[in-house]
Amino acid sequence: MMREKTFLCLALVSGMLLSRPAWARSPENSWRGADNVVELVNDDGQRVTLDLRNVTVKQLFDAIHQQTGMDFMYNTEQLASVPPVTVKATNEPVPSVLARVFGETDIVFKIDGKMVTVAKKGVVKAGTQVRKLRGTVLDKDNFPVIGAAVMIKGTHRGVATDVDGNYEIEVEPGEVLTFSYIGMEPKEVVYNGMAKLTVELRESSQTTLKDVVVTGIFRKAKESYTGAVSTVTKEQLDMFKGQNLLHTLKNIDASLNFAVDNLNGSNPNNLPSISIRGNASIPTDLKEFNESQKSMVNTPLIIMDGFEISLTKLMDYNDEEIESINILKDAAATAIYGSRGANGVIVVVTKEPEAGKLRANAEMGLTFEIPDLTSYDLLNAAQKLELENSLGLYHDDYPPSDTNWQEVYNRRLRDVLRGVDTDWISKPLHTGVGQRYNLRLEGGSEEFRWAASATYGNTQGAMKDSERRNFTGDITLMYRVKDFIFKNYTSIGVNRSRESKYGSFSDYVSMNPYESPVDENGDWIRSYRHREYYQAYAGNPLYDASLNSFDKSGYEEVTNNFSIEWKPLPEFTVRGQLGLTNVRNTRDVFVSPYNSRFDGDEYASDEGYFRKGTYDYNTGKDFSMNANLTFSYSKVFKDVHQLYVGVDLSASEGKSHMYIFNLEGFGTENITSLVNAQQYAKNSKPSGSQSIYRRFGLTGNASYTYDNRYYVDVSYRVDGNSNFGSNKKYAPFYSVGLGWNLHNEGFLRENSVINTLRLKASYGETGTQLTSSAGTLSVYDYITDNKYLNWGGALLQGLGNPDLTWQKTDEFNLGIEWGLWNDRLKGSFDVYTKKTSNLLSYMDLPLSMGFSSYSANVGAVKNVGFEASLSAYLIRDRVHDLSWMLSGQLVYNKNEITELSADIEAQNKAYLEQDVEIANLLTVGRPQNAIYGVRSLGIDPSTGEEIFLDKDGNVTNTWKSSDMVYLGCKDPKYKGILSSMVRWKGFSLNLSFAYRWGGQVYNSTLRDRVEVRRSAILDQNVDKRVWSERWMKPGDVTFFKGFSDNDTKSTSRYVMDERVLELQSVSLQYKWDNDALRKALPVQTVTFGVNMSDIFYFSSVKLERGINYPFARNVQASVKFLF
Amino acid sequence: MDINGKGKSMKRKIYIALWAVLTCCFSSCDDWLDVRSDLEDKEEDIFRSYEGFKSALTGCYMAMADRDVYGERLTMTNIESLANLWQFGQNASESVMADHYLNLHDYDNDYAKTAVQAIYTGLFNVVTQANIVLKHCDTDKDVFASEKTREMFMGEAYALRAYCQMDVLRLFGQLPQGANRQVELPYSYTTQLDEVPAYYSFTEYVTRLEEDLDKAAALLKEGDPSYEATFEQVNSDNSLSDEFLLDRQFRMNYWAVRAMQARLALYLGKTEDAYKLAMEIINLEIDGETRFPLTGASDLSKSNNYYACPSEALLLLSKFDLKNYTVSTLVGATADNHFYSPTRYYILSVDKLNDLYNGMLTASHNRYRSVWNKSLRENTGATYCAVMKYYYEDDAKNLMRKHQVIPLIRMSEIYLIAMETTTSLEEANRLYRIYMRDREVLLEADAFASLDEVRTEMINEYRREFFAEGLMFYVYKRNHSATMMWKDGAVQEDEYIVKLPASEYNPNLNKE
Repeated sequence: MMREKTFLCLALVSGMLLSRPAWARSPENSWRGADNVVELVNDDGQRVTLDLRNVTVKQLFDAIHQQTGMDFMYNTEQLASVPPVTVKATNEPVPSVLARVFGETDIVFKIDGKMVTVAKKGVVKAGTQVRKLRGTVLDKDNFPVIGAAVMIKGTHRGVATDVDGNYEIEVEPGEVLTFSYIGMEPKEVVYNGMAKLTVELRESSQTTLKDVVVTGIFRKAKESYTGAVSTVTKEQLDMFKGQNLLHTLKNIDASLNFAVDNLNGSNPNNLPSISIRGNASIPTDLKEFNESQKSMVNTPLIIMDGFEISLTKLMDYNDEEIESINILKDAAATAIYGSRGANGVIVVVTKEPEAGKLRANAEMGLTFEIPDLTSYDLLNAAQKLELENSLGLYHDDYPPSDTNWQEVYNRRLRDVLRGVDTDWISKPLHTGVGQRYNLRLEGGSEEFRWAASATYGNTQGAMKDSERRNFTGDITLMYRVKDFIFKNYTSIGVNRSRESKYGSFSDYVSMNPYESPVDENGDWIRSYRHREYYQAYAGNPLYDASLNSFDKSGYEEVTNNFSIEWKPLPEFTVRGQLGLTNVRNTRDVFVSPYNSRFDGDEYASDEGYFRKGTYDYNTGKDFSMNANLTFSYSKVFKDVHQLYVGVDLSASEGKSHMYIFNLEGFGTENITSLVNAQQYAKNSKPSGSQSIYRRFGLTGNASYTYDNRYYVDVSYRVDGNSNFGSNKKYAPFYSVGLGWNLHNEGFLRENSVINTLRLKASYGETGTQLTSSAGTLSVYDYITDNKYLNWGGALLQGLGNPDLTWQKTDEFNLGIEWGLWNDRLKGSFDVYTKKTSNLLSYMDLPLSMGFSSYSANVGAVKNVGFEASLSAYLIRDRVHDLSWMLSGQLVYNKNEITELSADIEAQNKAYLEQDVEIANLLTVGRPQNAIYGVRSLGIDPSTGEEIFLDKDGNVTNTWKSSDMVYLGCKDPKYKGILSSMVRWKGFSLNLSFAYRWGGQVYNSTLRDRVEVRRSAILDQNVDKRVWSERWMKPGDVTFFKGFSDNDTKSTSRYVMDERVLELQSVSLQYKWDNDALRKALPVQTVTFGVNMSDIFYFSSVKLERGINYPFARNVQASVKFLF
Repeated sequence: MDINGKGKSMKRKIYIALWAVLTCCFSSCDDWLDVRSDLEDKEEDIFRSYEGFKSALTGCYMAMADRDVYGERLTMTNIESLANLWQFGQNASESVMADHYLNLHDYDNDYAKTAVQAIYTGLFNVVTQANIVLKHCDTDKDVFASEKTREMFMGEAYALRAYCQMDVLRLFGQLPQGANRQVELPYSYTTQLDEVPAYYSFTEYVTRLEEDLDKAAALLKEGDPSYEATFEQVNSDNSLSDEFLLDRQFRMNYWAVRAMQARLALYLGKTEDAYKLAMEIINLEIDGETRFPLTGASDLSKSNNYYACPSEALLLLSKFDLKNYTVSTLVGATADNHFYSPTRYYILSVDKLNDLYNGMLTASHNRYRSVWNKSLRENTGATYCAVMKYYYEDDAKNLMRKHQVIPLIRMSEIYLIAMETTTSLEEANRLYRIYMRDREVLLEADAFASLDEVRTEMINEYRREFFAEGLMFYVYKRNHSATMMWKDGAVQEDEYIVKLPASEYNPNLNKE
């Protein structure tokens, strides 16, 4: 359904474009006719009074300019032949004056507001060879260049381009055409008889970013790059701003896959798990897989200005400092990262200081986090009590108990009638109001430039007391002397974050609405007994939140990157870089001794008293050092042979440690210092981790392009890593890519529709490195909790596998890129297969080896998919300064496990034999994120019980874990983004929708909130559907089973197809950029913006979203000044 | 031209520089990539110091004292269930289910399998660790201050390997004599992943075992400070500055190896060798006094209460947290308000204790009097008996060396070996008199009228003396006993051959 819609939409877009190609149309009212000396596009009605005699044309133009401010654009050479003119005019419109004066000459004008373009009519030269050439001149953004001079070299013949950038000129084969415009690099083209010629002019300063692909190691021309890359520009970062930078990227590019995190919702301190092109790694241990909420094994490598950074740093980074982000996806792009490249690479390029007088950018903004509770639908106090009573929960067969239960009921009823109806879920929430400030200063001469920036961001989460604050300050210095460029970048990042002391949101969802958080006197109720005379207490989460507990963490990061670039020859560059980063992390978690968790019997004794209150303190340090040396050589031989060779040497070392101390015993909550603790927490001792790695890489890359038509790109890398096994210290990686620029072929060069058509294919092998050297070596651990007499011992931890190696990913990519009608309709399509083998896993050993298993490379995963993108300018009207672009992305990925170790298979079997549910299992032939359960035939209308199918397909009414089968995949097959960008003068309005379908979801809400066990209904609040949709009496045909005391087990009944459409971003910006502003204020421009994220969410599955932390709508308002 | 020429020489210089950098990097890379962690030690690093050798060797003993091996399963619980000394019956609680199936010798049962697998892995874990120590005694010779010390380390490693694999043979191997079913077993020299142990026939296996014991004896004769001095003398020898040379009875020493040789000889039916070895130890004198006297009477005296008779041990394991788990399994403690269920605890009924001491003068027999707590109560009111060997008061004296110990070889066993293998009835009677005197039972007359009588009684004596010390199953097995005390029915040959864990695979069997 969704799929059809998408295609329909795309078809509509292209249909509109085809039927009315407004942009391709040349102006019908040509201004080239003799009586059409002046064409008025946009007349300001300027009038002049002149009295000039025998002046040059230039003097005339200057005079008009002085009176009207109109600018004349012309080619001096062209006008040199025009004889002096005499003009007399009194308050006459400019067009009229010009028409009068130049009516008899071959000079023509085009007036567009204050812009007057002057051109000479084409002079037809005698001869039969002359052909008419039409074409367009575009700038780098594919906007038409108006008034660009198109000249025939060596002659005075030439024309200027019109408003759509179109020109028409008569030219003989063999003549050279020159295209020029102020501020742009001129371009020469030899006319070889083509009928159409579209030329792109570049800004005359250095080559701009868009034409090169920054791979983080080498800079490659996009024309000859075979890798699959998507680029995010700084403008896009501004337009789709989310809660943090990662969120922003999610709004822009669908090929970055963010795992849906229903547990952590919009917690500002939550680090999302990201992958590119499917999950290439699988967990080594099923137990771990089931216990940990998310896996970070598939996180792409992140490179900022040549150095690796953490995902956390990227999340907290100041997006105003970013020039562009390149996402390298296939092996051809990532093979240069060797053993780190298989998960894809995100390359961040920061802004370079710009020379010139001091420029200052200042921004301030407010951010709002507005909780979104639309997915919750709970019973109110009266309904809940009535439900409980109607289920007979206040009745007992034993008369004295029955009386007691009745008392409880009456008490609660009294409360309800008194008006107690606590809206628990709103209690821990608020609209978080945060701030953002940013200041960037830059300036200097061509030789010495500098930039300094500082930013402070404070995100207040939707749960009270949850926040994330970041400060970043950095200074970049650039010094250019002779062939050398020295650059130094220093940055300091400070983060302070705090988890809400309100705890888990799910606690509030569970609370019964007829319970009040405070008693009659307004004092906190510490805990509740849901079932009378039963030892089950539930603490009051609001009481606990009122205490002085905290959970805060933070880090301080200092980075210094230094580089020297030397260009001894124009075609040869050497660059050396050294980067140092030091990060200190801390986390402090204090639980007040008055917390209700210390109310239990365990803490009733004297010993227990001294154990109340806990403090968990973590401290860690990460240090990393990277050095590299890059050589690059690029040259064009005999005009058609382009060669590029790059070699990179890199070495890095990283050391880190983390110490964890769990302490307990605080007499009071007023003094929360670590030193006030009584002792280490029971059965705990200091713990932590420590690691060190060293890495070495040699990378080579060569590409050859023939005549801008065919190109081949080859990369090779050797990695050495201290984490590899001793027999496999060095790992080789490679990639080969081929490309074909069809648009440069003769048969397409004259095509008026196609301006870019490129085919490319690549194959390569990359790796995923081992996270530690564990498993490669036989290692001894010194045992501290055991002794032999008075000797300490060391125990062998396992037999190391010296052959243990990196995971290997073989990737094949086939891509096509096209641009039609001067890139008004652009798109690309990539198909890939990605096979990861050598997955790290445990293998069984004969027990006579002394150990039961060892780490080995077994297991394989395959991902197959495609990525398509299409963007179209529906409107690109330079005259009215209006443009509207629609773009869409569609990503498909299918993940399949193709091989598993025997150990995992055995763990699978053991899991199936236990009475466990919704276990994450790994099976060959199935995707990694699969849902397993017993097949269900629904609810038997006669009994209200569920009927199952066992694994052989027989009908049964007993649920057995061994009958669990594959029921679906949690990852959507298709997902994508649709976005719209409208710009009109200073305004821009952007929308971004995300959609996904083809995946399944296990609707845990129905299980946890609707099909609650009859007796457990007293302990928690439930969804409204309990009230209306459960089976009540024989004959009821319902989705939900009847009330029973048996837990609902995982079955196919709750596995639902998920189709989601969300409006993930809306932004409105206005850029105030005119003289009136500059006159009124000492600023150049002011930009106002409002960004909103996660506005609407529609899903085919009604599921409670945000279990431990609710989802929130993020709204940001900002104002930016450029001084 | 000029510019080009300049460019070329420039390029050449750059290429040379590039080449130099590359060569330099690769040659030093290997070392640079070799990193060391502060939390753990790589195998190649730990053996670079004497301290590391000590830790690794101590690690072997720790592994040996693990509860899966001699810390519990092979001394106190599972192994004794194989000999039917503990019996739980059908309604055994979950924690002792394995013992129930081991009673029945049902090696295919999952509980039994799990227990057997734990034992098997544990034994070979010690072997692998000993093998690695052994390997590095060769490759890292210079770490040792003296050749004597190195010989001690090597001797101990050989002995550790042999001790564990002797029990592999006794548990999983075929009957030592008159075997109808042949079993091949792995003898491990494994030190790394690509060295999977080969399987050997019974005779080949024994050859390897004897070879290791011979090497151990030869090396320890040189390196063991207790070869010519008593354990007490060694401990009080101030000239031994290295405290790792002390406490020889807690580590593989020369005399323990001789005792192991005697034990093996008897198991294989080489009675003459066994006799010689046993008598060598019994008759050994130092400074005119018996080197290894029987000291049970003083150990069990009211002032000492060393229930495990550690003073007469040739080899002990140290286990500092012994009581943490023995009180909840073997109980041992004096009766309190607790009710002890025989379906859950390793305890004996009064009748069974009486069976054990049938014909003994229980009134004076110090083992009966001291080693058993006979007043545990079940909630039905029935009384049960618990073995006290691994129980001690927390404030007892000599806690570490006398109480927190698990004896592996005691002199009592050497006496039993000697009595069983002697060809002289008179000598048997003489030794038995000495033996019983240590049990505070004074014999007026000769106890035995024939050597057959001696051999029959020896079986009872093993059961009585070494209860919860893990010897009885091997005694039954080497005698191919058709019955076991308290077990119904005849014992089949297969029941004596514990099944190897399912993961094991003998490559020889697949050979054509």
